[in-house]
Amino acid sequence: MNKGRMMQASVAALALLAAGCSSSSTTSSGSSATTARSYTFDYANVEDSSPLFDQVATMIATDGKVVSIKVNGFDNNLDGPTALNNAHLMVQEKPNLIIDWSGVESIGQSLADVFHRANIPCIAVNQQIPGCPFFNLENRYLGLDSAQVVLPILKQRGWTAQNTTLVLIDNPAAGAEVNSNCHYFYSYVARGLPGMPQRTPTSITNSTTTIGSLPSAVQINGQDELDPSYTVMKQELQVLPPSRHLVIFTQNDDSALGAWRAITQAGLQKNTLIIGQGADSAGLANLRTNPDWVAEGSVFFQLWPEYLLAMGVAVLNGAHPPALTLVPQTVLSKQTVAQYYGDGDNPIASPPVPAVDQYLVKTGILQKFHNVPGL
Amino acid sequence: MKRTGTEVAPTAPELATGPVQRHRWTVREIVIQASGIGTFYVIVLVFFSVEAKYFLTYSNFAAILAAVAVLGIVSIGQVITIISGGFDLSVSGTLPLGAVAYAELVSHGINFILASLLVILIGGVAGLVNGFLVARLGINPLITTLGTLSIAGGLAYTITNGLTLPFTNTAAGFWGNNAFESVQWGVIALVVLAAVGFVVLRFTVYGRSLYALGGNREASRLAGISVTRLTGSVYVICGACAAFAGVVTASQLLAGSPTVGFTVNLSSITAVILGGAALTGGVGGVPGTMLGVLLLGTISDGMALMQVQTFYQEIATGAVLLVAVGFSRLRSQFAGTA
Repeated sequence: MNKGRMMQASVAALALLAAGCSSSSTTSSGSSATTARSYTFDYANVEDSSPLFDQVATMIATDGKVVSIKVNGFDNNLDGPTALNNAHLMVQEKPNLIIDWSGVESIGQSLADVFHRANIPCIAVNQQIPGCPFFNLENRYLGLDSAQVVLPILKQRGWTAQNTTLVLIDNPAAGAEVNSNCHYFYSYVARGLPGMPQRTPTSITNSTTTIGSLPSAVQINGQDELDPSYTVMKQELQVLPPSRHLVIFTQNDDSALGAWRAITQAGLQKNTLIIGQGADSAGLANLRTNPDWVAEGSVFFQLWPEYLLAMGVAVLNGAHPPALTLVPQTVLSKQTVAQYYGDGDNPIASPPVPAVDQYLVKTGILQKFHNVPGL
Repeated sequence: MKRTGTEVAPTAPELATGPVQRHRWTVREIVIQASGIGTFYVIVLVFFSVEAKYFLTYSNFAAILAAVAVLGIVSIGQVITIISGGFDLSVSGTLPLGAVAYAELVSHGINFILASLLVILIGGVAGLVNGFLVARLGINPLITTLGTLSIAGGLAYTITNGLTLPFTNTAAGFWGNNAFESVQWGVIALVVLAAVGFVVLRFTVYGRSLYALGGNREASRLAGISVTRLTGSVYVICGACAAFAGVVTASQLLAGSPTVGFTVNLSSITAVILGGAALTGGVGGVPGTMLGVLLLGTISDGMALMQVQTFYQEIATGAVLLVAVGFSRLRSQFAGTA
């Protein structure tokens, strides 16, 4: 059913959320000569029925025309057998390169067998495919960068380890990698608040429910959805003393909205800070207008097509991509939201190209779209 | 027809017997009365009161009630459908459709009462489609309601383009606001609907006809009951309840999302069965269903307060539900041999 797939898609989206690890880049002017040749790419999208992901499928075809790359689209429908079938269909078309975003864990080897047997270069998005360069994010940066935004605010407000609880709203079903953002968030904040129990990110697991006796942190399952997050937050408020300050870390904006509703119903908003992820319309609006909504992670889905096209051209030109080519990503604060999104819901600027992605700049593709500062 | 602790339609001889005569209770009868979902619920309450520090507080019970309001409203429609011999899986599509429709309506400035009524109407129409397909065309309820589940859920996604619609007018969150002392208006609505459902099922011709229909469809038809109309009506009620549950959940969240209520169809059927109904129809009632709803909500709440890790919660919930069903079965067996 479409609905179930949408829910799974939202989980997949989480796997794609992470904060900017962007280091300052010294961008080269690059060369557009490499794009002079026309290529054909086949792109299998994770799920066209999701508006979030459909924009990637739509824009990669549109952006491809700008750089003389014809892109044929397929829909994996967030389904393993469909993805495998699409792989067979794509290799029959004999494109110059295949970009595959299956969204399904553990089917990478079967896809790899199809692509490698046909001797067609490939790029794996979000889920690894052996032998295909990998384009994804690192969730830990989402937690780390969110913590960097929040810590100064905590100190400014005088919130301490003795009077503050971190509420980590996770989704254990999404797996360890996705939920690592919560663990890194706690670990970094704890380092900045003297007296808070110190934990390494890897020592916190999906099974962890509380840290410290106060408690310093609680980890609850909001399933990355609106109503479960509302419910578990309401339940948690029965346990947490109302005098404690709360810092709520969520993995997407639906989850943040649900938790925030529970907070406002309890009249605790003045005692609470919240962090959303995904930079959707509601999240951006809250970041701009809600004084207690202090950070918002963004992975700039709209910019993925140009990154993927550049990566494809680089691969065809013989580049050796790093183990992970990072998506453009950052955590927005109240101070930076206008810089990246202006007053609207679509990005007007990209973070600098991460250091590991500099090989993309050399293709000259990114320069064609004028989204990356300095290129 | 023997009473097994759940409401069943009275037979003609039962109606004619008049006041129940007093008699001395046997051990077996005491066991029968002491077993069942009610007793099990009390055990659960005692357990969590001992084990979960903040369980036995007024605010926590208000939180449990708020948490079960949506499931409870859906379950009222579901129990009526199940008593009549059917069931409705499409509530998981109608509920989010109701939620996003309500969010759209109130965001366009429509008064929340009018918006609620319009959404209930939408749910009724969705139920009418189910009713027509099941009652008039004779299509299996499983297939029918699976189909309409997909259609209604797809409509919810289409209306919102897959996104969550926050309310622009927070006053429209009336059903999620507190009526008094942390008790939400949505909970009040649940209580009113449960009372109405109880009265209708227990004391009206319509209600008794539903039991008869679920007990023996052909006999009901021969007895002059309009089987088609009656069957259709339960799906209309169920759809309306599900849509109204969507209104309540949207009010609680101050947002309409197409992802809400994904599991409410199975949860509501679970609550109804826990409450003593049978999927074969003809048995069940609102009080038992409400106990089933409360049991589900209380287990979830209690384990959350005990900080039980989420995967273990699922295992424990399943085990507790099996034990609860076992209690009900035990009671039925005792009653059957009494």
